[in-house]
Amino acid sequence: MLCDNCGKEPARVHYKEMKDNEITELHLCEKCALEKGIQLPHKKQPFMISNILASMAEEVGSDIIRCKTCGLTYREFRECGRLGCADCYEAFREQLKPLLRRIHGSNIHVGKSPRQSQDVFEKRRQIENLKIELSRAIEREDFEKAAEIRDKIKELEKGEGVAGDN
Amino acid sequence: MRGSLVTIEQMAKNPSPWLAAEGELAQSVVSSRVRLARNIEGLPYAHRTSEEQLKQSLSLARQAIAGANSLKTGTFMLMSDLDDLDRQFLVERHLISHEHAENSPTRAIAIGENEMISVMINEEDHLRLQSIQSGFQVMEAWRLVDRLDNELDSNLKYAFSYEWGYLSACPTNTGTGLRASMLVHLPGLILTKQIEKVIHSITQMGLAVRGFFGEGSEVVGNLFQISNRTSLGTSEIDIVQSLEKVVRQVLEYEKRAQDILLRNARFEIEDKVWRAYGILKYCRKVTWKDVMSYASAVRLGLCLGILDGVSVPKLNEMIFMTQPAHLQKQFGRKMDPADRDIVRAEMIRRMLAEDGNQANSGNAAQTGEAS
Repeated sequence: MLCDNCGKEPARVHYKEMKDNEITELHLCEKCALEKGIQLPHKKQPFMISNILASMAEEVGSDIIRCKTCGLTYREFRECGRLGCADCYEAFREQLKPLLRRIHGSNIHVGKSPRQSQDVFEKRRQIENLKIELSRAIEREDFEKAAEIRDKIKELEKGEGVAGDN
Repeated sequence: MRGSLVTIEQMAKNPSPWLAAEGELAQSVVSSRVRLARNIEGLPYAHRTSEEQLKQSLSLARQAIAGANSLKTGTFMLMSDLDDLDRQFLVERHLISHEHAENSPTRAIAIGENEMISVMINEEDHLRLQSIQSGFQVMEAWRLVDRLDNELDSNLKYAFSYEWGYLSACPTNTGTGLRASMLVHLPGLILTKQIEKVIHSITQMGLAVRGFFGEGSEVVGNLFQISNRTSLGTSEIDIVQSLEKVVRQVLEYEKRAQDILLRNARFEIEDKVWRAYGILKYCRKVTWKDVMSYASAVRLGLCLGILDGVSVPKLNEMIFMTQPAHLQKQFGRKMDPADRDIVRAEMIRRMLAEDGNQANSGNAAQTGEAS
């Protein structure tokens, strides 16, 4: 559909106007809409990630790069605007650098950072993984293995007082 | 935090405590909000992960929350334990996003006492920490959410890079992961047709303007959400302070616009305010959107000293408590839209009768027994 006003550009702003109890519908291109002073405040902002990504579409060569951890390709990222995991930041590093600069006007973090004493967390994660293994062992009725895993979990929980709060 | 100390039914009986209009400039600033996007190291983001991994992030987040002081007394709810109406209620309450409101056994919300602090689990990011405060208190909101973040940090390992900060599913949130916003009432700028110009200059200053429910939502009741747009390369405090600065400036423009209205169109404005008040006080059916615009006119009337007898907290309560899911939860039954419009009108008449307007309140006071 072309713009009702200039008839040249594709219509992107669809607008209903009520005048003398009659509704008129207008389909305008962005330029004509702007000239008519129609710019709805809730209109998605021009810096939306998809717009920025679309405008950077020239780097077709990057599309085949794949994150080894989660399997996301750069092309898939360009299409959905979401990264798959933290490692994607490393995998698409060269592409993300200019993108982050474009979005934020900077690509260096300033601000708080997490604490580094993370032993408790590591234990918890091990326990979570073991729990999954445990349920799998039970599923395949490997009770010997299950007992072994359960003992491991118990030991880890005992070690750091991790189990206390749940 | 235990499973469920507070139920949706109990929450629905009262407005969110942050509607008490206690902060500075509360006539014009309904609320201040800060959220942080956080992810757990070693797990893929929620949209690209297996059910098992989602259970893992849920479990890790839940344990971390259980150890966090800020959420010691509060409620934990799985989305799959709630029905559609409950989830809609939480959206209206500004506690979860539309996207989060799906029937999923791995999506959850932890809500602290007073609803001023909360965590969405397995939304776009593994954790979305939020604090909402009444009025112009975005720094206080930051303080609370920062504290919760530190508490969770000692029980979780966040995905973080020294170069790019907290790594989020969407690169627009990477860095501090912080979004600070204020819900601001700007009727004067609308009536004097200056709003586009002001929004344009806010955007120029690197901030974003959105509707009542945030990104992609519509502006209703002349309420605009002004927020930071970028999260990388600026510290948390600087982001919050520049938002404060811009909002103060916008409120200054709003004040000037209101002065102009009062000077040049006094009777039109008085008429608009009193008509809106009259409709709210005597209506027999009313849609929520209409409530939003009438309440906006009455709020303007309060700012300009045209009327009194209604308090700002009451207006806040009116616009939040009469949303569709809120109404249905309060009355404990499903209602179709036409039904809701009638019950909503009853409720508003009762609110205005209660709010200290002695004269002529008899009529309204007699109606609306259902509750």
